[in-house]
Amino acid sequence: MADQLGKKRQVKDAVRENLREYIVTYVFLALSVLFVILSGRTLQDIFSQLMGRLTRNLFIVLSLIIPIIAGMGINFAITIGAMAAQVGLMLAINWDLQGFTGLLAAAGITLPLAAFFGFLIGSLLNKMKGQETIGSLILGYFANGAYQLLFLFIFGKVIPLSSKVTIVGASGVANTLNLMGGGLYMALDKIWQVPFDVCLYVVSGVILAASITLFLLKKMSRKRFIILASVSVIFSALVAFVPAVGTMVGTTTVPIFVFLLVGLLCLFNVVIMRTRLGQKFRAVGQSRTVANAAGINVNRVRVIAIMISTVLAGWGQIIFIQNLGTLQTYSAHEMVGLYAGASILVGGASLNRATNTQAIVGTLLFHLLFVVSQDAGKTLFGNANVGEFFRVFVAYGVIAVALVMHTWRANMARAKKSTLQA
Amino acid sequence: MKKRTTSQLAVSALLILIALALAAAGAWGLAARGGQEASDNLLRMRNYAVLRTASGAIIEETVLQAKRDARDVGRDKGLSRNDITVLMDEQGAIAQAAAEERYQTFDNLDTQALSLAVENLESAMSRYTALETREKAAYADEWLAQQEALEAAQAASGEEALSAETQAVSEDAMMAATQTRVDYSGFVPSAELSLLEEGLTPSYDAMYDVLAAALPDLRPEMREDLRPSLLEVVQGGNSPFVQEYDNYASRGAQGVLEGAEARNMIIARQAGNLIVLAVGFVIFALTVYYYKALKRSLGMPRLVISLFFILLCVMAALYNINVPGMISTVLWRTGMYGVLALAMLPGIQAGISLNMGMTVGIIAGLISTLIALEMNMVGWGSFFFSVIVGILLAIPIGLVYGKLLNRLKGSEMTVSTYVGFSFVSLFSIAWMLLPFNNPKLTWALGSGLRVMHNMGDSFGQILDRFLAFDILGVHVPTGLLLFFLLCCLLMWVFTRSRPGNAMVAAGANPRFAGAAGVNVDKMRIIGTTISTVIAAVGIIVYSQSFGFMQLYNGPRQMGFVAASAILIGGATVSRAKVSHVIIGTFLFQGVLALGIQVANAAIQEGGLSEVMRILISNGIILYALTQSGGESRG
Repeated sequence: MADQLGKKRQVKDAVRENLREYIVTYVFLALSVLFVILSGRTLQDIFSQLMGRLTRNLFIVLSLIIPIIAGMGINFAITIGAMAAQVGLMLAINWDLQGFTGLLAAAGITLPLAAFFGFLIGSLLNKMKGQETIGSLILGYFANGAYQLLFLFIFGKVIPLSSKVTIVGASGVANTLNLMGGGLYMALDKIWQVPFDVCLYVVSGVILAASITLFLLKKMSRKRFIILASVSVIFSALVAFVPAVGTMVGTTTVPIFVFLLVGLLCLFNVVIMRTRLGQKFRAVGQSRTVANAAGINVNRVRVIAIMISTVLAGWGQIIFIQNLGTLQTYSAHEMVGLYAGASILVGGASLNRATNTQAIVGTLLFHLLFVVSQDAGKTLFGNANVGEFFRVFVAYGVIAVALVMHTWRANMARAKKSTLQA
Repeated sequence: MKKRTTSQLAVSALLILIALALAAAGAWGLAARGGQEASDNLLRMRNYAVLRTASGAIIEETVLQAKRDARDVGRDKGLSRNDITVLMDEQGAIAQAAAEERYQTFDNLDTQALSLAVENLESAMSRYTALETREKAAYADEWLAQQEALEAAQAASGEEALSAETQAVSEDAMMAATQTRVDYSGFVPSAELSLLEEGLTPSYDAMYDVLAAALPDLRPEMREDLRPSLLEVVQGGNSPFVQEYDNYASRGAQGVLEGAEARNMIIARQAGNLIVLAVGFVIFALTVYYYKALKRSLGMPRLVISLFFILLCVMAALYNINVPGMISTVLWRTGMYGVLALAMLPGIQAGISLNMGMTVGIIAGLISTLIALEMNMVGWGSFFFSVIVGILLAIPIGLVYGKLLNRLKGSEMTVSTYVGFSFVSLFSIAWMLLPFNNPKLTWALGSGLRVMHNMGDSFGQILDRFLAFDILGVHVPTGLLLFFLLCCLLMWVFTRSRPGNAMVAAGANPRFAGAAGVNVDKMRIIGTTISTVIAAVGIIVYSQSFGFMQLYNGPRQMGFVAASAILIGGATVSRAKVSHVIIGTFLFQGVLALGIQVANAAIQEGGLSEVMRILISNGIILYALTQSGGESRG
């Protein structure tokens, strides 16, 4: 009897804990469902748009994870990585490099540029420990100024460019660069496209097989096995046997190559945590003082974390732009940090803890709201602009709430510690 | 430790030497302007400019003819349109080169006759222009008076100028609009002036005849065609050296001068600029010499920005930018942004570092102004109504906001930035939905408030105009500056009072203040509330001065502007004084206002000043963050 009561309390505590951790995610989920209903759009339409947005954004959001684990908060300076990528893309168009080669060249240019900028960002953030979130935000703004200077007054004047990226009579690089001409548009997406249902069956099959093997080899807990196996079976069954769900995913295709890249990045995020470098990230993230005492070069580890993040974000921006088809030279990078940061926080990450799952779930929810908010605003207030403003508000609001909750908790923990000491 | 290094001494000595050389050259140039040699050279340049202008017309003609011929040839051969264009350009270029070669020297020219004819024409022109200037000035006065009367009548009848309403306004555009242009289309010359104008013709004809003798290729109809441009070259009157030189030089007249002559003339032309440069070099040398002392007393960023400011002043002088107009702009902008920058002060003093969330106060100020506009209030009443309602709205917001910040010690700046951003976007939704009905405020179609609101018919520029006066061409917005200084004074008095003292103590060293019996949390709330209230007043002052109120994303970056200003003034994220606000706003706005004009003069493209604003504003905040000693705030 007592045992049962204890168990009940345990479950209750676990639920409460889970609620507290993921309250933002649940509120967001409820909001998204409400908005989907209010928007009055067909699920099929929403689903295909959402798939496009996932293709574009997942990689960038995943690039935020390592700095979070290293205790540097949300690296809003990934905008600088995006700027490096735009330099690469601009040059690729300028040199008339075609298709996949062009994107590869852009990625190749991004790598050293973004790594160098990452080094600078990391070094600067080391001088403002504890203020990295705001520091990286303002650094992003600052870099935007330098970027405008480069694109308006140096490219095309000091560094000559071809007529592909400039406009006669105007200074600097053109406002909009078109990727359709050189065949850069969807060069990654088009490599291998598979209908969503086929893709789902294959992935489910692989997951099912893998989890059964691992379970039989006793490398996976029973709980985890049941969750993975049932999720893959249920989703496949839903698509295969429920006609409504079937039509929803109907015409949507999945750009396999991009998702392979995303998968590789997830794997990278997991694997690197098992290396010595990953252990250092974690140690520095938990406590700089302890890590320092253990002989870790804290500053160096933090710089490496930012460098990796900046390069990955740059590559993410290339994936983003090739999917979009046009590069808004002077504004494409501006919102990158805001939307990626809001996405990962919506998924339940905090300023010192983040996982791949949180990043993926967060991107899904955040962009679901993005897709439907305009129409929902129209239904609710008769004005699509309200929905437009609402999604910007949500992006800022989510970050504000996450920051408030994080600081609040940290301050409470510190207060508790000091009363204990006293 | 040595006070100065050898290299420092060497560099400053070198700079002083350069400055001395420049100053000497400049002084020599100034002296040379009045000399016989210079005036002789100018006369030669003038004659040559006349010849060049006349021959230029022939060259143009020849080139056109060559192109026409090429086109006909191309058509006969049946070439494609593109090929014809290429051929025409080719032939045109060849003809141009040949003609230029041909008119390099003028062999059968009667130099003396030309000099005499030009001299004659000039004296005729002088008489004419002197009278014309006088008559036009009289006309302009009359025209302006008429215009004012017209405006007054319009204002009385309640009609507003539609153009101002529909055009999008930016701050840069506003500055140009302050100078009105006189419309001379209604100008009628007097009988005396007409007589003088007619008198020009014989002198002109005499000169043209000399030219025609020298240039047999001049066709008869060119006599009339060339008249305006030739008259412009001769100009007449006793225009200053620089203007005269530029006039001739723009027609390629330097070609007549050789070697040392040309160099001396250029030095004479640039004498003023050389002296300005010399002053710049002296300042630069002094900075290098006193580098350490300056760095200690000003701090690195303020030193850099002050130097930048001086550099801009030197460049402004080089580009002949209107100095009084510039000072007027800087004064105006200082008053406009000053109160907003002051809002940062109590936040820093109370220990919440940079209050980027002052936008919540700005929103309160916008709401109160909107209420005043909705009720069609006008004049001082509407201004004071907005200020008072704004303060009343800002107080509760500030209290709640201060309580929130008390639970977030250590990350106030990060959180307040995002709270401010969210508040701005939340109110973007509110602007769409709030029940304002005045058609002046809402979109003509659909619902929601407009983005820009003209303050012209409520309290636009009411402070700026109060007791405003012009001195030496500088427009001083007395009321605006007085209001700003009054706010600063009030703030200063407050920090000297008992609660103000406690607030500063709580901000400077919370632990010590707490031990001394100060309620630190309460003091932080007071500081935050005052900051919010000043922000509300600040945006009202800004809107009235700017002449327009901006909703939606307008106020988002205001916190950054205010933060940059106070940091440039020498504040840190934990220590600030009233003087930092005044100096900082003046320097920051001075650099921006000057920067816009210098950038526009240097390269004819927009955008550079905006880039500069982004770099300075965010750079200074970054610097302040690196100085805040991150570790202790961990």
